[in-house]
Amino acid sequence: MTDDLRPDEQATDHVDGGPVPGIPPDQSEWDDSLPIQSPWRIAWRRFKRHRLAFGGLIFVIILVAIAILAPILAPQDPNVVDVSASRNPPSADHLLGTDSAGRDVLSRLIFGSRVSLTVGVAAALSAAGLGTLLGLLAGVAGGWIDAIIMRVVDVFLSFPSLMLILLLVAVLGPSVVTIIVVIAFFEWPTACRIVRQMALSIKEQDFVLAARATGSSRWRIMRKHVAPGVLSPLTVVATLLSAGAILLEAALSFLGLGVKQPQASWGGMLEEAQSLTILKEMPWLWIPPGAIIALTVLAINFIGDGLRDALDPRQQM
Amino acid sequence: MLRYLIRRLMIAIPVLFGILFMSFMFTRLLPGDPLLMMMSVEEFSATDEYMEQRRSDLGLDKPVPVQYVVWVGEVFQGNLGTSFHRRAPVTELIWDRLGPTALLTGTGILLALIIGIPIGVMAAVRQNSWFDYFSATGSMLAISIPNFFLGLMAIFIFSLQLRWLPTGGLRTLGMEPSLGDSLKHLIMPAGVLSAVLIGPYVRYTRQSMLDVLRQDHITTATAKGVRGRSIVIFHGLRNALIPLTTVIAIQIPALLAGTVIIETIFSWPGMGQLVLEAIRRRDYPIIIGVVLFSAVLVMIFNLIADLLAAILDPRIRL
Repeated sequence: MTDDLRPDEQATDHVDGGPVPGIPPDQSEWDDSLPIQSPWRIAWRRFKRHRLAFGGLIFVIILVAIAILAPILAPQDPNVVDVSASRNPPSADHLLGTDSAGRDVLSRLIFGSRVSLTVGVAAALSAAGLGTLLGLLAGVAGGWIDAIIMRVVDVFLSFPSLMLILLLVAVLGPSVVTIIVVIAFFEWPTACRIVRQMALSIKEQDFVLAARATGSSRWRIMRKHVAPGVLSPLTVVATLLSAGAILLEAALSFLGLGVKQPQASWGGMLEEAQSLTILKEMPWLWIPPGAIIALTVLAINFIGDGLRDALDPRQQM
Repeated sequence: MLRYLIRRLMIAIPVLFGILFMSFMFTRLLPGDPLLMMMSVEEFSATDEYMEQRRSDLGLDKPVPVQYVVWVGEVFQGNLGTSFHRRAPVTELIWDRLGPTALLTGTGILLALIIGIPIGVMAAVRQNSWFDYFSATGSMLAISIPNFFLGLMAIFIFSLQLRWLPTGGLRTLGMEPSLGDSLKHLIMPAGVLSAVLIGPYVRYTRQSMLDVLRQDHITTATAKGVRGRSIVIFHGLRNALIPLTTVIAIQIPALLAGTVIIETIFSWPGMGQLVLEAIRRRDYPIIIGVVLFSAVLVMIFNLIADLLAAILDPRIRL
């Protein structure tokens, strides 16, 4: 079985060094007077050449700014109920109209970014952290520890995780923290597999053999040699995990089992659209939140894609 | 071949017991008496003395490992408990919903293969072309749009605006069942479900095609003067499709998770809808039953995919 859920190579990958449409030949804006380029600078320059990834990064930066500045940017209080202004179409007062409780859709959209980004970042970091820990342990220790961890991974990957996440959130009670913990608990195996695979291949490298020959302990090898090598694929995995976590949170809230009303979340805003009347007559209630979820996830996926290209050491500069 | 088969089964067995263990843990961790999770329909009206007797029969007064063994025994006999709400055996409820879900997911996979494979092959043959670039961007878009939003948009466009397709259900109520009517109901949910699969299928087909096209037997075929198109199809694609069997199996958990949302939006009476209703009503035996059933199904499909790949590609067996 292939050892990762995501393909290693992307269509925009150019292993053969051929021309890639949409990416102009490298016109380095780099200052040539700098003789040494660190790996991170090289990666950053390569990342910038991937236009969609760079665009995605800018989109996410703007979104983070919106989330932080939400109280200043939002034209109205997102939770103020005004029954007399229920389901109003977009107007000068309410640029994106109002929902069934008369709340301003644009303001709720702005505040909703906080939930999505928090869940995306926190769940992805926790899942990646747990996955890295177990993946390193499996890869470096080997033997029966490896066998047990990998069987546990197989077990986790056999379950349709959404069903278990829904169950746990329903039992524990929906809150942002619960959602983050539960998503992390079921999404770590992807990171674990990839980290283990990287650790296994690094373990066989000459410099690790040299370290072992000169008497470095297993723990030191893991810390000094294997962990840094795992970092770049892990960055990619964590990025993709955060896109997945945002989608999961949106799905939970859409099903009414995620973030509780009246707190604004993008998925929760789409919940109302399950009624055909709203779906048909009031598109301002559901198209903007749906589109913003899709754009955010797309932007993050493009960033992950760009990182994959930029951090791949096999690739030509 | 036999040795490979045995080795593969040896890996599957601990996974099966792991799946059973995790499901068992859920029955114990969820609020409520575990006895309630294992009762039959008639027992809901039984006397207290009888229930005490049953409790000790099921070993619920014994240590947890014993309880696990008894529970596994019950599961192997097909006893997944009884729905609190519907008062019917969970096995029966799942069995009733299996058909619609199999139809939906099967059609979804089929659609994704029909769309994904040709795009993947084209992208590989014209590597780094505009087509390659657009297919990659398109696949990325398809996995990024939340499936519930895609479903709502499909209903909005095809049912409410254009009025081409029904908004949901298995067939039109009160109408004589017909193939055309069923297809009309099937196409939209299956199409939305397939969106999440098309991206991975395109990527893997493309990658696997690129790997195959670099191999010696392709060069030989070209040197012999075989036409370009038959090289791609008969020499390339045939071999490139082998890894795809594994990809299809890997995607099944995601597909089953997708049915929870798609079946809810399109009122499709399948397992996904059943499980979501059960979650809303805290009907735990149904949830555990469906989750356990899905996981075992996924395990079996993974096993089949690995064996199929081994049969098709003799190199794997070595």
